[in-house]
Amino acid sequence: MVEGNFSSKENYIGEFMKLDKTLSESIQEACAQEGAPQASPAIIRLVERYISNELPDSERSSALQSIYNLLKE
Amino acid sequence: MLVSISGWESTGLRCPDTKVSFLKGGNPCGINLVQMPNGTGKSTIIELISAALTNSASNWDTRKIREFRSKLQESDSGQFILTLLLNDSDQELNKKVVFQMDFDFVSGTVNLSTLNDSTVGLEIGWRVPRELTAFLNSKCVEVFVFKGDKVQNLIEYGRDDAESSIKHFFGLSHVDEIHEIVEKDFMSRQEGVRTDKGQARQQGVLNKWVEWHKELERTKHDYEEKLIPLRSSYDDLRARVSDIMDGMIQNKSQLAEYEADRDKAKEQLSSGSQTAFAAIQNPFFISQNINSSMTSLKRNLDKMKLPGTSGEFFKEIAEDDACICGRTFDQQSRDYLLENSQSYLSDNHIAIINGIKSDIDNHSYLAVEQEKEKPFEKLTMLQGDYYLKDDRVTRQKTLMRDESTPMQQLLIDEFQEVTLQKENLENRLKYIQNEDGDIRIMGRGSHRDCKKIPLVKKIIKAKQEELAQINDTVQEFNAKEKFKRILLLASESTLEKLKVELCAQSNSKLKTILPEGTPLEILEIKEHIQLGFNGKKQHLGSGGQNVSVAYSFATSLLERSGVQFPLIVDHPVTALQESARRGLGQKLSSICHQFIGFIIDTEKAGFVDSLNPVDEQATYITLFRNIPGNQHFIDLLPDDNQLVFKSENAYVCTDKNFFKNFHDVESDLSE
Amino acid sequence: MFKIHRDAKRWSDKLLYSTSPFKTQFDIYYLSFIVGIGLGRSVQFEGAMTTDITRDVPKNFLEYRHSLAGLLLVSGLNNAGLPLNKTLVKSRVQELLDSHSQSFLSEKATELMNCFAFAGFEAMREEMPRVPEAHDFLIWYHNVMLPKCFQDDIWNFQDDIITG
Repeated sequence: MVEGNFSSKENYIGEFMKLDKTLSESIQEACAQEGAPQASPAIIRLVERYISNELPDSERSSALQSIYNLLKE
Repeated sequence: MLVSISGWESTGLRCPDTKVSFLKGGNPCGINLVQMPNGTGKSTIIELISAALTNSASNWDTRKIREFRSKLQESDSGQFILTLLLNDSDQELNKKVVFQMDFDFVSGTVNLSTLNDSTVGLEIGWRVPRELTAFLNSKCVEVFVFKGDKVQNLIEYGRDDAESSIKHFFGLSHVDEIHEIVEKDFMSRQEGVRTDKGQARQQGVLNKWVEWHKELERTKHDYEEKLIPLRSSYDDLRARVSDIMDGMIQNKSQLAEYEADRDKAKEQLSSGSQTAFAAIQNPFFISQNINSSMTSLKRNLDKMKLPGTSGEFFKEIAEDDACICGRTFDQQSRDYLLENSQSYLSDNHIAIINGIKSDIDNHSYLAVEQEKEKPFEKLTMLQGDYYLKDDRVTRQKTLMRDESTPMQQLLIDEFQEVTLQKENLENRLKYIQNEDGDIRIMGRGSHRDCKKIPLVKKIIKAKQEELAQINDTVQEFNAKEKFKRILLLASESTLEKLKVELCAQSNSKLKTILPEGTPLEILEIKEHIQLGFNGKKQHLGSGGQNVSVAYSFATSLLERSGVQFPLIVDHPVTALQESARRGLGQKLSSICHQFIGFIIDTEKAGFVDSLNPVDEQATYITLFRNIPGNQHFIDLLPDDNQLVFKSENAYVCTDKNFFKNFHDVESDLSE
Repeated sequence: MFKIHRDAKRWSDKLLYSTSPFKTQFDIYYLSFIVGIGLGRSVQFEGAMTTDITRDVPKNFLEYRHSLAGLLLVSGLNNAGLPLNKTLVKSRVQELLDSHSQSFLSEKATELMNCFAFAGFEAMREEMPRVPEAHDFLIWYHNVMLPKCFQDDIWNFQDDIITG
């Protein structure tokens, strides 16, 4: 059997499903390209929550605001 | 994590009442073959498995639900239960998940329940286990549940099934959804800002565009929703028409050859058209009179010594104290010089005249070269060739149609009708997603004139930016745009990297499945899987090769995702010749952890004996209806009750010898 | 601003698809312009009779900007009704050409081009009320429309200059 790219025990952090390694690395690179490397953990966390269906409507605006605060010049 | 199907149960539905288990010693088997004669309900079972995994039944209408009713028993209700086993040794996870679908044919409804946690028991609703949230949707499930001609959809030019699978498996489709959330959130923030009349008016215009965007998205969603059953119907009809054509094997292979020829001719025609239009874009190619007029223009310009010295030159001299000849300027001579400089062309015009003169030489030479290629003669020839080949395809289809029975002809007609509807809808969908257009022009007009979603989005962004300037919320706007850019960059970059990885992984699996030296590989994964060899593209492989490619891609995708689902395939080896079946059979247990193949008796040769399941963990299940026509099978069933399950309308036998020796006869019933 | 007959979009919709040689409305505009200037026809239209398509010449026509400018210049000189001389040429150049514009055309030249395109579209539509497939259309355009254009009686250019 061929091994998958994930180590299964790293699949979850608390409530959320961890993003594919390539996607989280790409988010880090994209943040760096946009001059905002500090925003990547928050963006990754937001995407993970959304994919895990753990980002209810009521919390979306504040989650986005935190990211905007990190991205503002 | 490994997800396995441990079995299913069905009662009161158009497929036979059965209880099928893929367990041995409490563990799911790696290789599972379910042999069912035609008309026993293979497609129904696969559809139900898909529906249980994706909750697609919640979108079924009454008519669709009632189609699942057993025609023989006419019961008022039915049930389908699918049991999964989730195993993750690293997380010490070992749990059972049950999806139960209860059909009420009187009211035309279906209710779903889920057993997700044995301590809680069966809960109403379709409750996806957290571990599988990201994967139990139709796009992901389509990757590992192969129905009918799905194989070809991954490889066919013009379809995006391959790319779509990747996007859904790795969260990229979710990233796309987040864009919409960001926009919605931003709009509601903007509306909260205090404004004056002018700002209010601009906000009003922006709101109209936003509402229009929503309407277009609803229209797009409408088209997509309508396309799902249409595509499903198309795939189903294509499979059935293909079955009819299968009976005319020689004609079918001839048709395939003609279609390939025609498609190639179409590509060449398209290329020829591009070349011909490129020639026409050069005015010198169009007419000899243009050529001679422009040459004459150049000659006259040269005779007139145009463009000559620029007016600016004289203006600059006039600013000096003396002329270049040394004579000192007085006011009169300076004025005279300035006045006459007007009659000279400016630098601005000189540059263009020189450009025109230079172009006359270059483009008339280019026209000569283009003429030598005779692009329009070639185009006419290519057009003729294409029409010839297209006619040949039509004639072949007519021939095949005429050879079929009235029922079959109706099916073929229905397939053509559905194909037309599907193409129509796909064209409308393509248009609404098209990016061509000038947003500066469209943005000035009425929003209803712009029916292309990407353009509308760009216009909204431009108007938001304008309004942000006015509202002094530019920072917020910029942060929002930056966030969207980050998401887009990350998504595109990830998709490209994954495509490259999956291409390599799939090729490495493909090499193990195909006979050594087979000149076929996956050149790249675009929206579809592009086949070829040594850099040369290939439209499609042979039936067997396409199946091998599809398996390689699907299993690579599943492995890479970290959650390995079983591979469930309808007619896994029909298109393969015996040697290819042997090759695939030998490799199956190494390419996926659980394989479930629905086969008919004619698929066993070369395939079953080559299977080498790990630790002999395999099930060989034969399922047939309990009808008088199957009596001789019933008579051959083994006496051992452990190996035979009998319901009111079906038999399920798990004996390997019975499985191997089973040979189908025609059934009168088809459900 | 390049403007096309308001009916052109609907008429030519079928010609614009991914594998067609025609990618944008400007391609249709160009074909219309060639027919108009080739037949020596132009129409002074009212604003409502056209649709804006683009301010700039698209990428696939950039290399032909000078040639198109030259074509308009030749047409402008032909239609002057005056003997060809240096003064006339300079005046036409100043009137029609502008290197500050991306298309190298002045506003007047662009309007002129639009008038030719308008007439050219009407001429094409008269011959072909409904368009066929793109390749059929292209062959028809080359074999039927273009031979009617740039005939000697309409399109000639003085060879002799009268200096002045």
